[in-house]
Amino acid sequence: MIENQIKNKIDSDKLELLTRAEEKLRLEHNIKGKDFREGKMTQEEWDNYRNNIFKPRSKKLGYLRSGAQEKEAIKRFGKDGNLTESQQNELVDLKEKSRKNSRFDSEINLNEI
Amino acid sequence: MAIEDFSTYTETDPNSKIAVTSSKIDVSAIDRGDNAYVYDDKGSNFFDGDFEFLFEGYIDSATTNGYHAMACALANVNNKVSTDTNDDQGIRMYREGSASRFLVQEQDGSNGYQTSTGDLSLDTLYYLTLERDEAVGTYGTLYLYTYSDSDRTTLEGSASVALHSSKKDFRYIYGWTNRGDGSGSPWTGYVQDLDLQGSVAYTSTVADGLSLGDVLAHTFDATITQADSVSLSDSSSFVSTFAKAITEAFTLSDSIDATILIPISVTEAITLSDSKALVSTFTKTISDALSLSDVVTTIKGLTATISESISLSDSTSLLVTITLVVSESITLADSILKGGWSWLSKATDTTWTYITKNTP
Repeated sequence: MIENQIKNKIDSDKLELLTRAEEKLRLEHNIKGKDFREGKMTQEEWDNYRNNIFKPRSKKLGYLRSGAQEKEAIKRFGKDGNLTESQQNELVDLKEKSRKNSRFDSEINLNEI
Repeated sequence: MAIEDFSTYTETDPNSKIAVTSSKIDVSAIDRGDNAYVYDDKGSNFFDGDFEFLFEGYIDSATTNGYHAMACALANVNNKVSTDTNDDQGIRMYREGSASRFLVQEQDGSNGYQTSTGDLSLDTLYYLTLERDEAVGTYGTLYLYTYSDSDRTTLEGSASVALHSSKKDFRYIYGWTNRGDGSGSPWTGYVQDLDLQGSVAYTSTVADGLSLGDVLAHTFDATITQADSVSLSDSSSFVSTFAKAITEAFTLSDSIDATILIPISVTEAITLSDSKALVSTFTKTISDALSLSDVVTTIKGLTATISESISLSDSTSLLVTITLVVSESITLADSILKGGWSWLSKATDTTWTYITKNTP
């Protein structure tokens, strides 16, 4: 369970871990997608991966990340909604950095999301 | 899949910055202050529950910073969507520096929430999926996926917003809309090939009202895909499209309740002038169990009778006839069949609205 992977972390680290987990899942998705395009995976196998593995994991990560980002916004800006364009861009920049930061990789297990 | 015909949408464009064709909304150097938008009225609460929309978006490098453009947006007002006080859900498309950014957005009353899929390229066509799943979180969650290929095998980014305060239904869909406040920040780009994935509504007229004993018959060609042989001993792990154990075979006399989760894609056009007797071609895939033990919810006493058996020897163009029998009184505003895929709702004594929707 991804909840166990983030439960002892401070909020900002939770957001970073969840963002990195989304990125690792995206990369896994694209490897499978490449296999499908190259004929190494059948349509049925691709559909099964996309619908029964990727999508539920992505939805769970996305939901948890949304809550974590709102907490980060409150910490940074004192509010979770109605962010200014510059505040919104600050969060996008943070996401871009977290996507590339591998410091939590050893704690992320995509098979236990 | 049915691509939305933007030429039938309502366009407001005071400075002629938008060019609309049947499948594309092309915007050129529109000022953020322009009160411009292209929308369609699908009817009250048309967009309810879960949905998944597909469309394509392109942000031209002629665009300058500032996020006032919104695409594939749902709302309950028909003037502009990007106000600060009216509920909406959709996608913001904007430029920031050398990147294009797509944000999934919820406007919940006076509060706005957004999350970005991350930095993408300018002058690049992206294939987007907007999905709402009301089973995730208290009020559902809105997801955006951006892909670089039309088959959606290469994911470039994703974003999500856990929705706030209530589950919301919407009436209007905006192919594209401007914010309509401030000035400057010209935006250039386009959206195209919006596919609501089977959500179709049309109104047909019947000669008189319905009463007990009336029969509504709907006949359609269905393509049924079965992966392998089906026998009584098969388990739920046997055929992926059957979610439950098959405990008994189908026969001609079998009768099941009408609520079956079957995604139906309309493969030919349906217009308002079509009569109730219209026979449309649907492509149908069974996504839930069809076993005799699978007697599901009875809604307003409607039952569906399968009048042809389904077996492995059937061709893929098997004709399935489902007859709906009205077995209890129906009054205005009743929904006589509401399942994961379709329902009929009575608008007036002589007018019915037939709606089919995909189950994502």
